[in-house]
Amino acid sequence: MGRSAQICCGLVPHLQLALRPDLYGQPVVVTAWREAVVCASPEAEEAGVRPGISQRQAQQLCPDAELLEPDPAGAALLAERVAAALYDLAPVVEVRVEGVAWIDLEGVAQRTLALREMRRRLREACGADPRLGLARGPFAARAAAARARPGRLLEVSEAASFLASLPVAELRLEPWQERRLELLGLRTMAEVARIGPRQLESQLGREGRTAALRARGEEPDRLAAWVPPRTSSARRQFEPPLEEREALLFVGRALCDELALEFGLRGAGAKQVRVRLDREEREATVRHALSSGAELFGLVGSWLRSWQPAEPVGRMEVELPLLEPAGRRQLRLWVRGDGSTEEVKAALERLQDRHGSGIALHPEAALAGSPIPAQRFRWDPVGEPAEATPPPLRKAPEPATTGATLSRNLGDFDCSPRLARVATLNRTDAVRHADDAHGVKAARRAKSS
Amino acid sequence: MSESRHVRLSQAVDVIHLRFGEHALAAVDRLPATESWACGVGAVDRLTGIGGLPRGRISVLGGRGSCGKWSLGLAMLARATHEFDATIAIDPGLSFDPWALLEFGPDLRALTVVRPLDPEAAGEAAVSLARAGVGFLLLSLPGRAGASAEPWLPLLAAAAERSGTLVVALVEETPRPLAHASSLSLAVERLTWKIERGELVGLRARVTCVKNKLSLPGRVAEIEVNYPLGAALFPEAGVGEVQQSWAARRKSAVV
Repeated sequence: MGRSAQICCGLVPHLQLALRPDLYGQPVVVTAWREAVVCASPEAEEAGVRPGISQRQAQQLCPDAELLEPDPAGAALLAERVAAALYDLAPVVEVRVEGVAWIDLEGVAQRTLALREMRRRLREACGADPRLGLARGPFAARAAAARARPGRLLEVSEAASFLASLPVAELRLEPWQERRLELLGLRTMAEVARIGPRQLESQLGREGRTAALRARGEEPDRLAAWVPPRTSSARRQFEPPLEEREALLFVGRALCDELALEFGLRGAGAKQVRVRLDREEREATVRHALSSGAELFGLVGSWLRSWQPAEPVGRMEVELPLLEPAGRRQLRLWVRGDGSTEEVKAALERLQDRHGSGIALHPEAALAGSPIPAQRFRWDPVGEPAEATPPPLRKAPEPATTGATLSRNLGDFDCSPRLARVATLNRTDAVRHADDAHGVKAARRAKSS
Repeated sequence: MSESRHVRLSQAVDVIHLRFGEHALAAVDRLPATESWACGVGAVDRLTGIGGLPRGRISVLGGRGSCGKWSLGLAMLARATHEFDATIAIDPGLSFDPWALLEFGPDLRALTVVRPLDPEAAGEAAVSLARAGVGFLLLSLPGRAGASAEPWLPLLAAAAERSGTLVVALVEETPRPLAHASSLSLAVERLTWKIERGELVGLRARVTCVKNKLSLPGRVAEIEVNYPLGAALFPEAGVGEVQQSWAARRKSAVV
C-alpha cells in the first residue's frame, strides 16, 4: 500500500434506500407525490430512472417499481450512525446521504485492519457489501470505489493515469457545464487535464478550475470532517396516552437502547440524563459516564418505576444533554471480569444518588484489636476519597491482651506495676462513679415518687 | 409448519428478544451450561452435585439462629473477595460485622457493604447490582425483608442469570418467593454445641440440600464450625476445608 494512498471511499446504496434493506434487489424509487425522484435502486436505474426526473416519468419508465416516500430525517440519522461507526476507525470522516463515506487514514497505524473494519461496519449499517476505493484524495477514491466489485477494494497508486480514461461525467458538473465540455470536445478526463485550470475556469466558472485539478489527480477537495454531537435525545409520542407503567418501561428500554446504540458506536457516554414525561421531568448528573443501554436503563428504569405522573403520558423523551468520552475497553487488557467493574461502580453511584452516600460503604481496618466495635473499622462511602488515618497515639495492643480481658484482668497479666496500679485506681474510680450515679438516680426517683 | 406461522413465530420471538433480551428465550441446544464456583467448603461443594455454587443463580442458606449459616456465608464471602473483582454484602439488618470476617482472611479491598434503609431499597440494590454484573452478592434477608421480597426476587433471578452473578441469600426461614426463585437451597441445622473445658468453642451442624434445580437434591453433610474464641480445637475428619482453615487460623485468633 503506497504511502500516498490515504483516503478510503466506501460506496453503499443511497441511505434512503438503505432504510429499507428488505427491498434490495427490487426496483425501488424514492420520490414524494408529484415531485422529483430523490434516488432509485440499481434495478430501477437500469430501466432509465434517474434522480431529478418526475415521479410520473419514473412510473412510466419502470411501472413495477415500488415507490417510497422520502424520509430525510431517517436518512440523516442513518448517516449520523454510519459516521459515528467510522469515527472509531479514523479521526476524519465524511458521510453523505447519497451513500458515500470517506475516511482519512493518515496517522492510522493498522490500515489494513481499519479498511476491513470499515467494510464490516458499512455492511452492518446498510445491509449491503460496500465497494471500496483507496487513493490519495477523495475524488480518485470515489472513482476507484465506483469501479470496485461489492465487498472489494480497488487501490489507486497513480491517480492521473487512473483517471485519464474516465468520462467527464465523473466530474459531477452541472448539466450546462457538461454540455459546454461536450461542445469543447472534451470527453475524457485526460482531455480535461490537458486544459489548464485557468482556461477551464474562464469557461465554467470556479467549478471549472476544480474540475481541471481533479482530472489531473491533484485533489483540490478536502473532507468535511464529521464532528460528533455533544448532546443526544430520543422521544416517542403516544396516541392514545399511556397509562400503564409496564408500557412506559418498555418504551423507556427501547429509547435507552436506541441512544446506547448511537453513543456506544462512537465511544461516548452520558454524563447527564434527563427524562421528560409530558411536562414533568427528572434529571441527574452521574459521576462516571453511562456507556451502555443497561446502565442507562438502570437509571431511567428506576425513575419510571417510582414515577407517579399526574396524567396519562402522551410524550416521553430521554435526553442526554452532556456526552463525554466513555472509558474504552481493550480486550485482554483487563482481568477478573473487570469488564463489568465500571457498571458496578455506576450502579453503586446510582444507589448513592437515590439513597445517600451512606448506603454503599467500604470497610477498612482501623483498630482491629479495639474492644469497641465501632473503632475496629472505618466505613468510607464508596467513591469518596478515604480520609487519612490519623496516626495512633499509641500502638494497638496485641490481640491476646485486648478486649474485655484487658480491663477485667489487667492485674493478672504480666505487666508493669505502675500500669497495674493505674488500672486499679481507674477501676476504683469507675466503681465510685457508678455508685454516685446510682445514688443520684435513686434520690431523683424517691423525690419524684 | 406453514410459512406464515413460521414468520409469526419468529416475529413473536423477536418481540420477546427486544423486550426481555436474548436470554429470555433461547433454543435448548443454545442454552449455556451452568457454571459452578467452588466455595472452598468441600462438604458443601459436594452437596450441590455440580462441584460448587451455581453462577448466575440464587442459592439460599437457611436455618434458625446460631446454626452456623452466617459462618458458612462469611467463609464464602471471604473466598469470593479473592476471586471476584466486585463482592457485595447487602445488609439491611445492619448485622454484618467485618470483624467476624477477618477470621477467614478476606481481601477487604474487593468488598463493599450496602446498607439499605428499607426492604424495598434492599431489593433495588440487589437487582441493580446483579444487573451490573457483580461477581458475588451476599444477601442477608432478615424476616421483615424476606417477607416483602416477592416483587423483586424474579427480577433479581433474571438479572443474575443474565450477568452471571452468584447470589447467596441468608435467611432464618425461607419465604415462599425465595424458595421459588432459588436454584439451590441448603438448610443448616445445629446438631450440638461443642464445649471443651467448660467453654463454648463451636458447634456441629447438618447441611441438607432441600432444593436443587441442577442436580439431585436430598444430600446431607455434617460440618463443624469452630468459633474463634476459646481453646484450640482439633477438627475431625470430614468436616471440610472450613474447619481446617479455621483451625489453622486459631493460633492468631483475636479474643
